Amino acid sequence: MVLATFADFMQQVVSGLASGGVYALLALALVIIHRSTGVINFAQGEMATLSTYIAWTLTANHGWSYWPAFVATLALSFGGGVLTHRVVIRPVERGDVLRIVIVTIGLLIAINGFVIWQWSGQPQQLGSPFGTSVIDVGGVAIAAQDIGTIAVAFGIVALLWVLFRFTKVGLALRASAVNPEEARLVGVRVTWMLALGWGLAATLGAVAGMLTAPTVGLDPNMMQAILIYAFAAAVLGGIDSPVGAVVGGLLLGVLLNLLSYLSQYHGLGWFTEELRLPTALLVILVVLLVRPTGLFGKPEVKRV
Amino acid sequence: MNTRATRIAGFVGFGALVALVVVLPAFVSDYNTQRFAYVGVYLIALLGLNVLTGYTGQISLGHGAFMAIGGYTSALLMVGNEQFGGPIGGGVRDVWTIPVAGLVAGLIGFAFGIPALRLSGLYLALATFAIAVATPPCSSASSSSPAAARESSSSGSPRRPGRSRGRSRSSATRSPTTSGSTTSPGRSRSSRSSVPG
Repeated sequence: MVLATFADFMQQVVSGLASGGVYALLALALVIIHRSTGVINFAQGEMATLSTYIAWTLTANHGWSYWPAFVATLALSFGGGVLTHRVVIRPVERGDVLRIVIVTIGLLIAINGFVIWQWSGQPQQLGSPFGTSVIDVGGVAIAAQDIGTIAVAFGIVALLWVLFRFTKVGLALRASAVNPEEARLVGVRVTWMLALGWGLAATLGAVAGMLTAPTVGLDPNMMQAILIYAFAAAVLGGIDSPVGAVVGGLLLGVLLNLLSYLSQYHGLGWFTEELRLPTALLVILVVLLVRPTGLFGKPEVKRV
Repeated sequence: MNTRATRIAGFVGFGALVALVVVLPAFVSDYNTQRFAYVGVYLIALLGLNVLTGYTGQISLGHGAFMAIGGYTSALLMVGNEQFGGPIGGGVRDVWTIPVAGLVAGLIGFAFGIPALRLSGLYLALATFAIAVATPPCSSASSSSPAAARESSSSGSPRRPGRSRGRSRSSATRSPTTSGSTTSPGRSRSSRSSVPG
């Protein structure tokens, strides 16, 4: 009995890590954009939804197989992200916060409307590349989809780390985020680096969307709740810290799953599914009020 | 002199508007009357938003949440929630529920304002956006009794892996559908077309 409960518990942890991996990817996208351009991209979720729809239409309507569609979607999303920065964001980047917020909210509404117009609001089914099999690891049954999601999330994080840490582009990206003026002086094309950041973020969002769609079903509002979890994850980790975004995402995924699990067995009956989102809201509020820098953030130095 | 003229013009304009609102239903169809009523509803919400963003310069993306609180208060006072096992009997006349709803939403807004004072700019936008998205599931959680919800969720299929993802699916898909017309910004636009119909 105890063993069964433990297996249950581990299952919850693993599937929490899987959904946490998705939150982490989207949170990472938010952090990359916030670090480089100081913008919180409210349209990040909808951009991911759009990417996922592109992947779906390639596989379902144009007969592509999954992985070519996956790669093509990432490429398209990257281009879309760069384009978004050049066309939509750059003109308002240096303005008032309210302007930026409203522009990204407008982007959210526009993309949402575009997706509904183009593909209707009908839920669709995007296939999973990992299949539906279940793997038994020491009495703990784990869905292949969960393992695949975790693997892809960690793989992407590792790739990103290598990019930022060991390549010239990564160095330029970091330089333009930390000190745009001096970066420009040493010959970094800062505005292109910012656009590159948006492209990377859009690509991350696309991966997150494609990992999410097989489990929750593809519909135009699929990423709205996940965006809130990603916000919570990013805030929890410290909105400027990539490591924090990943840790925050995984923590949040496991926390929410364990709360649901406990609610079934251990007298937390009031914690229903509907309270997952408000929990994320609570995390956002508490972190912002008690420790605005999050777990890994550095205290913000006000720019003059 | 000039200010006096504008003030008089203002009064006249306001009077004309009131007269228009009074006589309009006699000239347009019920359907269009309802659409004009929605114009009024959004106008009131906009006035509230203007106090916050226009006068005090604070960003609120969660305004729809307070609309929802007002709406739920009004509905609870009129209909009650006894049929869902709640304690409120209802039966209040509709007109009287409106000021009470305003008061309740105002108190909750005030309560939220205390922590919000410490946030500014992007962070305030973020927190209020989360409120907008989190309110609909909150309200549906309080209207369904937890015990019943738990029963329905555990009486389903035998435990299988990835089940909690399945459960998280229910929350992810439910939240947009229940968010209906008011709260989340992405949703409000897409469902606006369905509001009058």
